[in-house]
This record gives sequence, C-alpha cells and structure tokens, in this order.
Amino acid sequence: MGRKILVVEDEASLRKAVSISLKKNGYEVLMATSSQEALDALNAAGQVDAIWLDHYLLNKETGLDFLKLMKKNEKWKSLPIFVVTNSVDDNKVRSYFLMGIEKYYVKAENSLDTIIEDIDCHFQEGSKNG
Amino acid sequence: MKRITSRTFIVIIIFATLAVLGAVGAAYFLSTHTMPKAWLWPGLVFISVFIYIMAMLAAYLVSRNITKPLSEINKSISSYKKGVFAGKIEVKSKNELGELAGSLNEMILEIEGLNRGLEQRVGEKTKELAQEVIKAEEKSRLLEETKAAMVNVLEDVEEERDKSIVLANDLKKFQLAVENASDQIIITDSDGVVIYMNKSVERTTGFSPDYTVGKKAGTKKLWGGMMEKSFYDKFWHIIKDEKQAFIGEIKNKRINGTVYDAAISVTPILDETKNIRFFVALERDITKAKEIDRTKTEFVSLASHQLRTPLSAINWFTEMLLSEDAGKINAIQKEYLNEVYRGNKRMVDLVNALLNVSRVDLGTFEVEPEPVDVVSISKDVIAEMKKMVAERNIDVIENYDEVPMIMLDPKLIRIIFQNLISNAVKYTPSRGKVEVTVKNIGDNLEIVVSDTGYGIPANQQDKVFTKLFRADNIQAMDTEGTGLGLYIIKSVLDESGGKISFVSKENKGTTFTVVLPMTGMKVKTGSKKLS
Repeated sequence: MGRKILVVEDEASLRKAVSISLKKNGYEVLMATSSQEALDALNAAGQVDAIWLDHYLLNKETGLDFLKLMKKNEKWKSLPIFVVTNSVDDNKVRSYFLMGIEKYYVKAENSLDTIIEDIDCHFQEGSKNG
Repeated sequence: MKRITSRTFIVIIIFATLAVLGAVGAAYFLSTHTMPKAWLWPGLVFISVFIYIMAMLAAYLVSRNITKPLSEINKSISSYKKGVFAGKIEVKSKNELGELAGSLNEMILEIEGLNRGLEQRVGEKTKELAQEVIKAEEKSRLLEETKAAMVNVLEDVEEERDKSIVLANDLKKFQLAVENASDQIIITDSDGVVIYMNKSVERTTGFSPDYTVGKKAGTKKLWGGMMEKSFYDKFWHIIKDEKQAFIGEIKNKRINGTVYDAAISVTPILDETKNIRFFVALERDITKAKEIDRTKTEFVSLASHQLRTPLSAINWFTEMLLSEDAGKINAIQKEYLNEVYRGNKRMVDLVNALLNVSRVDLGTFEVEPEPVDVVSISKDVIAEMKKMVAERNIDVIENYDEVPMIMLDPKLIRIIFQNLISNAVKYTPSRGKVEVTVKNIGDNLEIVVSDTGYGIPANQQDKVFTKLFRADNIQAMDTEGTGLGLYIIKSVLDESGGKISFVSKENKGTTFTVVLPMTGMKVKTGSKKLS
C-alpha cells in the first residue's frame, strides 16, 4: 500500500514496537517525539496519509496542542488522526473528538494488530469512497 | 265650747248660792219659827246631808269633767313617754280639757309626724349611707383585686425577665458561635435577600455587612455569578420548589475579583405551614482542599499513565513475539510467552482498578445518569465475554423482564455487569452455569447474577466488598482477579442510590443482587469518570 504514517510518541520502546508492526503491515513510518518534530517531519515529507498520535509528548506538550497546530494548517487539517495513548479521561477523549480525530485507543488495552487493522479498514473505506 | 273654768265657777257659785240661801233660809226659818228642839238635829242632819250631796255632786262633776280627763291625759302622756302609746287620747269632753286633749292629740300627731318624717329621713339617710358603704366596700374590694392582680403581674414580669435573661444568655451563646464560626454563615429571607452574615463571610469574600445585608445573596453584585445559569436554576429549584437542602460545590468570587471554590449547603427553614421563612447557607472555602484533591487526582492519573507505559511495551512486544514477527517460536516458547502476556494483562487490570479505586476514594468520580437500556448493556457485556465463556465451557442463561429505560450512568452499569458476570464466569468450573437476570420488582430494578461456582467461604463473606480481597478458595486455584471490582461497584452503588448484596455457599455457587430504584441513579458531580 505504501501509505505513510507519522507516529508521534515520546516513549522509545513503544515507538519501536509501533514502527515494527506498521512496517510489517506495509506502511512507511515517520517518527517524532514532540509536536515541533512532528510538524517538521510533516513539512519535510510534504504528505502523509495518517497520524498515530500519543497524548503525552516531549517538553510537557500534549497531543491536543499538536492537533491545534495541525487544524490551523490548511494542508494538514483533514488528515486522519488515530490517538493511541495510555491516559484515559473522558474529558480528554471528548476534547480530542471535538477537535476531529478518527479513533482513540488505550495502549494497554489494545494489541497493535487491532489498531493497525482499524487503520487498514479506514483506508479501505476511504478508497471505496474515492 | 264650754269652759271648765267658767262652768265650774258657775256651778260653784250656784252651789254656794244655794248653800247660802239654804243657810239663810234655815236661819230665817229658825228665827221666825220656833222649832221644836226635836227638829234641830234632824234639821242639821238634813242640811248636812243636803250639803254633803251637793258636795258629792260637785265632786262628781269635777271628777267627770276635770280629774278623769286630766288623769286620762296624764296616763296617755305617760304611756306615750314610755313609747307604748297607741292612738289618740280618749277625752271626749267638750271643754278645755277636751281642747287640751285635742291639742295634745294634735301635738302628738305632729310629733308622730315629725318623728316619722325624721325616721323616714333617717331611714333614707341610713339607706344612702348603706349604699355609700356598699360602694365603698366595692371600691375597696376592687382595689384589693387590682392590687392582687398587679402583684401577679409583677411576679410574671419578674419571671419573664428571668427567662429573658436566660434566653438572652443562650442567644448570646448561639450568636457568638454563629458570628465566629470558621465556616461562612448567611441567613436570607425567602427571596434570598441577606439578613445576616457572620464574620467569616467578610473574611473570605471581603464584602462587609453594611454592603451585603439587604442584597440578594449569590448574585454578581456580591460573590456570585460565576456559574452557568443551569446551575443556579437547579439550585433554586431544589431549595425553593422542592424545599430540600442543596449540598454541592460552587465557584464564587471575592470582592477583589479572585475566584475561589466553596462547598456550600443551603437549607430552607420552613414554618408550621411548610412555607419557607428563611434560608440558611453554610459555605466553606475549599480552594486549598480542592487543590490538594486536584493534585492527588492528577498524581493518580499520571502514576497510572506511567505504570501503563511499560506495561504497553511488554504487551506489544510479547504480542509481536507470539505472532512470530521475530521468527518462529516453538510450543514451549509460546507457552512461556503466554504466561508473560497473561501476567501483564493482570497488571494492566490492576492498574485500571487502582485508578478507579482512587477515584472512588477521593470521591472524584462522576455519576451522570441518562436514559439507559439495561438489558442491552447486559447483552453487550455478555457478547464481549463470549471468548472467555467458550473457553471455560460455561452455560450462560439470560432472563430479561420488560424493563423501561432508566436514568443510569451507562458506564457504571457496564462496569457492574462486567464485574459481576466476569466474576461468575471466572469462578465457576467448567460446564457450570451462569444466570443473568434483569427484572422489575415494585419500584426497583434488580440485576441478579448467579453461578454454580466455587462460592465464597462463610468465614470470609464479610470481607467480600473490601479492597484487594480475594477469597482463599479461589486464590488457590488458577484464577485471576484484582480483588478491587466489588469494592468499586459497591462504592459506586452507595453513592448513586443503589444496593448490592449476595448469598453464597462454598462449592455450591453464589448469587449477587444489585438493586437500583426505578427513579434512577442520583447525580454526582465529579471530575473523573470511572473506566
């Protein structure tokens, strides 16, 4: 498929696991640990197909901060976002969905396979809809 | 009117004349005739008798006309003097004595008249006096009564004064207590206009009594206006329409504009006819306490997040090994990796449960009721557990009554079902039975989950709802559990108006019953939801 996914995750070990799995499933993986790094990666790549976003990022930032920046940018604001985090808080979830994300996953309760399956589904439906 | 005196005089003259004439005649006779001496003495006797008879006559006449009337008069007067006289002096003589009697009679009559007049006047005067005496006595009695009444009044007044002193002292105690209490105390009328505020209100909000008394409490002019309209609407509905106490948290602002968190309790005070007379509002600045709570909650959130991170790593890498992403694995490796995976899953469950427990303990969890179809949640949860149920070969039976939508927090109901059903399935041996029932009993909804499993030992049944409790009999078996699930759902039910109970017999089975009122769960405000 060759779809590009930007993984924004500050934990090294988790980043490794995610990127291995995504690559196994045929995705091209870009990585970032902070929202600035993520923006830089986006700009450098010019185009990505989806974003895998953790909530707690480097420099005490959060995924919400990053999302805000994204949504301001014409180029990136309609990118599908998959939030994969360990913090569970109804208010947080609400805020993310209000800003516009595809899905919200709790890391510890979901296997990578499940999440990646969903991402596959998303793209399949996407391509169906043209 | 013949006069006694004249008559008497005439009579005497006549008799004297007669006597003289007789004597003269006799003397002449004697002188001219010689009388036999024998006629001397008869002749003297005859003349003497004649004179005697004349004297007798005279005496009689005097007696009849003079002496008798006089004595009659005298007698009458004497008896009159003695007061025994009755009637007139009976002297009918037509002479001076008669006149005298008449005059005396008249005089007596007059005297009688005067007497009677006097008597009458005296009588009248006496009566008048008696009246006066009665009046005076009456007045004196009234005076006595008035005096007695005044004495009573004075005694009552003294008693009242003593009571007042005691009351005043008591009141002073209450006044001092209320005035100086560390909590803010405000009393308003039935419209919310402040009639009293204690010192603490000024200390906390900065508003003085002069400025505050007479204004409506909790408005922008004073410390209010920081919450949404729906909050104030609900607040007034509870205290004014439902006449119930409102207990909750509110944000208020001080006179200098800074906002603070307060725990408030506002109680309507009703009179005998159940009308609202006053509101009493107690308020405590809980900004610091809230800050501490917020810190604790954030710590717990952060801690659980930090704990989950390495657990996720273990999860994912183990999964990758198991799906042979790093190369083929043999059966034993698979087995060991599965153990690692399972152990990790237990840790994740424990971390989740601890997070919920901390939210329950801190009281920060929310109960947000909405119309919920209990039966569909039950079916959902059972579907989720299909795999576990199949693995353990358990027969799950479902019985559902026609149950309407009830105001419940769907997340919490889900947690209740998940907990009870997973416990039932976990702690029942292969080929056992688990029965899930949702029914309508009177005003309540009942959720009953029963199993034919290991049961809870009788001597440990009192610990079932305590934290981290796992019964000895199931610890010994290859079962997994956090020991926190029942603690959490019991705390949730306690807070939201429900109840949970169970019966159990070791090696026979257990039945848990959750009762919720049809009116639904009570709302609970909080900062977090349980997960």
